[in-house]
This record gives sequence, C-alpha cells and structure tokens, in this order.
Amino acid sequence: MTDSRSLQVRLAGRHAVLVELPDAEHTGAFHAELLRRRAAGTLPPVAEIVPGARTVLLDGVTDPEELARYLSHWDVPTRAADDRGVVEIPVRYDGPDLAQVAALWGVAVHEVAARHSSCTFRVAFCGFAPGFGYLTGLPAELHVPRRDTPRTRVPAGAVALAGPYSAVYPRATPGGWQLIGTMPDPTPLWDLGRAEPALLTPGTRVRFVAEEGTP
Amino acid sequence: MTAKLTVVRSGALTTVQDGGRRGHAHLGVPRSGALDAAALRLANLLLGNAPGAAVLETTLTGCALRPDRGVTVVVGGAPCPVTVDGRPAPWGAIARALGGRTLRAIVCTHAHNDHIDAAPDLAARTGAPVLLHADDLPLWKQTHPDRAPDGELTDGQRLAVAGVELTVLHTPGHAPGAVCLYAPHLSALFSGDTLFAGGPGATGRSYSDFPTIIRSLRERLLALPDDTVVHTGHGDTTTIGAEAPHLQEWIERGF
Repeated sequence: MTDSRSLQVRLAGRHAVLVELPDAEHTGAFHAELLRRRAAGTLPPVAEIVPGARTVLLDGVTDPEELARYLSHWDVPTRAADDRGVVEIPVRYDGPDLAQVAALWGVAVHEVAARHSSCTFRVAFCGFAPGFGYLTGLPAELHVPRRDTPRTRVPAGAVALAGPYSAVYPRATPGGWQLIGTMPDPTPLWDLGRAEPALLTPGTRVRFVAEEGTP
Repeated sequence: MTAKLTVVRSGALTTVQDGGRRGHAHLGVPRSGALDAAALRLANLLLGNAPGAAVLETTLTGCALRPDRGVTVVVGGAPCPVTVDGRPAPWGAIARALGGRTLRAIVCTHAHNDHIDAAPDLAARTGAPVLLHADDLPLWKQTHPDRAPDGELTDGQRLAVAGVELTVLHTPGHAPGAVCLYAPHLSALFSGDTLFAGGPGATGRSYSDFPTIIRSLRERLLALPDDTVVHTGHGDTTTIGAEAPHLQEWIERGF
C-alpha cells in the first residue's frame, strides 16, 4: 500500500487536477484504481483520465479543489490489478539494432528475442503518434539508452526499445529508439474503422510473440 | 457551388482548426481545435455555419487567399489589418477616425444596409442621434427592425456643426428617403448614392426609381455651381461641372 505522502495532487487550470506519483509502478496502480472506481460509479465526474510517465491528469472536472481533497486521501495498492486480457503482438526479431542491444544486454543476438518475448508489458501511457503506446515491464537490467543519432525514418511496425520502455511504431516517423524487430502488419495499432481505434490503450497488458523467421 | 481558395501566402503557422475533439488525450491524440475558441464560434455564428465548423487560424504574419468567386468571409479574433484587393477593409474605422472629437449626429443619406449597419452601434458608443429621412423608414426596418432612428431629416433642414452649415437636399430615386448634404461655404456636396463619378446611383432595387433619380439630379444637384466638389458614397470624388454635361447620356442609356 502507498501512503498518501507518495501522492501529490496539484490543480491544473480551472478544470483539471494533476496527480504526481513517485514512479511508473505507482502511476500504473493509481490509474488502474481510477478506472476501477469510474467503472464502479464511485468516482466524481471526470471527462478525461490521461496517464503520463509519473502523472495522471484528470481533466473536465467541475470542482477541482474538492476532487483534489478527495484524491489526496487515497491508499492505492502498488500492484496494478491484472484483470484485463493480454494483447499479443507478433514480432520478427530482425531489427537493425539487434546486435547493439545484444551487446548492451551482454547476451547473444538470438537471446534478445527470448528475453523480450518473455516479459509481460503494460501500456503505461500513449503519446508521440496515434497508436503509439509506451510499454513498461522490462526488467531494469534490460533498459537501454536511445541511439546516439536518431533515424530520420523508422518504418511502421518497428519494435523498439528506449530507457524503461518498449514500443511499436504505428506509422513511419523519425525516431531515436533501438529497433529490435518488426510487427509484420502494424495496421491494427491504429485503425479508425474500429470504435476504439487504438489497440494499445493505457492499462492494457501486452506480450510479444516471436514469429517464424526470427533468428 | 463550393468556392475554392487559393493560398497566395500561407504566413507563419496558419492552420485549419475546428472546435477540436475531446476524449482522446489518453490515446496520445490531442484535443486540437482553435486556440481562440470564442472567435471561432462568433465567426461561424456570423456566417450561419455550424458552431464548430473549420476555420483558418493565423498567427503573427497572417495569410493571403484568393477565392475563385465572390465569397463572404469573417475575419475574427484579435484586431489585425485586413486588406481586400489591396485596399484596407474597415475595422472600427469610424471610431478610429473620430479620435477625441465629439460626434454630434449620425446623418444617414439613405437606409440601405451598407450605409446604416453600424449606425446603432456607433450611436450607442457615442450618444449621437441617428437622423434619417422618414421616407426611408421601410428600408431602415429591413436592417434594424428593433431600433428606430432618433430624428428626421427634411428637405431644406440646416445642420450646423463645427462652424459649417449643411443643407439637407431630399433627392429620392436611389431610395425614397435619399438625401444629399450641401455645404455651400465649402463648395462641397455629400451625395450618398444619388450621384457618383460617371452617373446616377443604381435604381434596380425595390424602392428605387430611375425617372425619380433623374428628376432629383436635374432639379437639385446638377443645378449647383460647377465647382462643387462631390464626395460620393462609393468610389471617386467628382465635381458637378464634370458630371452635368452627361445627364442626357444617362437618360438615354437608362441607368
């Protein structure tokens, strides 16, 4: 359990409250608790719940000061509830930075696929581009820095690592993350034909599944 | 038909913005929408558009556009210089021109909307009365049904302002209550839409009449001294002497 001192509630403009938390784990747990209470109908009206790396923004609030008082007394379990299904993402581990990542991890190249696909990730937050989720769950010893020189073009479907995060690029963009593989068909990551366009929404659990052809 | 706008100059960060869309920030999709949401709503209201219809939002250096046909455009938000075909468009022009001077009266040459649309607002700002010939009240009510003029203009009436005397000449034709203002000591005529450089005002609209405007020109205006400078309601300034010889041509062409 956290104690209330681990949670800072700040007013953000006239209609929003920003909750600051000590780390990604607390943030994920707090976000999960917000969704649980909203689903149960016990959360005061909030239009948008927007998680970040170590914050959660509650926007579209009628009385931010009252909500801030209400939130500051929460005790939240640090383990996010694992009550949602797992999204599986197929990956061909053929990225151009595979050797570099293997070297940083101190393992053989073929070990990268095994390690990455053995983790269960969680979408901590979304941003950068529609459909881009920042996935946490990588053990600290597998965190890697961004590339010294970013690429002007990373292809859609590139499976990547940077800092504590893994991600899949939903579209071709510039990018500085280490590329370890490819999701063969990235179109489901952001599909405007679906009622919920994003495959990876905050709180979703994710596993990568190594495809045939992975070295 | 939908008009097309050609972007002549895009300016510094001109973007297409609508009312934006909430509820997707948790997916990393920002709300977007016009920064000046009040201006967006007001501009759309003025045009009869949906409240959140898309606009061009400009910054710093504005932009330049060329439409492929006549269009009605609202430029809203913070004040900025606006030009149409290279000419400055009026924006608070009357209030700016007044400076610190006192406005004694708002004398309407006639009640077509392009001559009276700002009159009640200007009256409210300055306290000056709106004066109009009674024969133009039906036209006035088409633009301002809920706000009557404050006083009447009658033929021969004299208005004294800042040491100048203006005589009201009732000159119907373009509108039934059209008047001109004659300042003999200045050798100046303010002709409204009754006389322009090159001919009489248009008489194609309802309440207009060509024979009537010809009679007003012949009997009232062209009888003034030749050196009278005519300050018209639209277009270039002229003189009575330059226009008077053409009366017969105007009658023959019929406009």
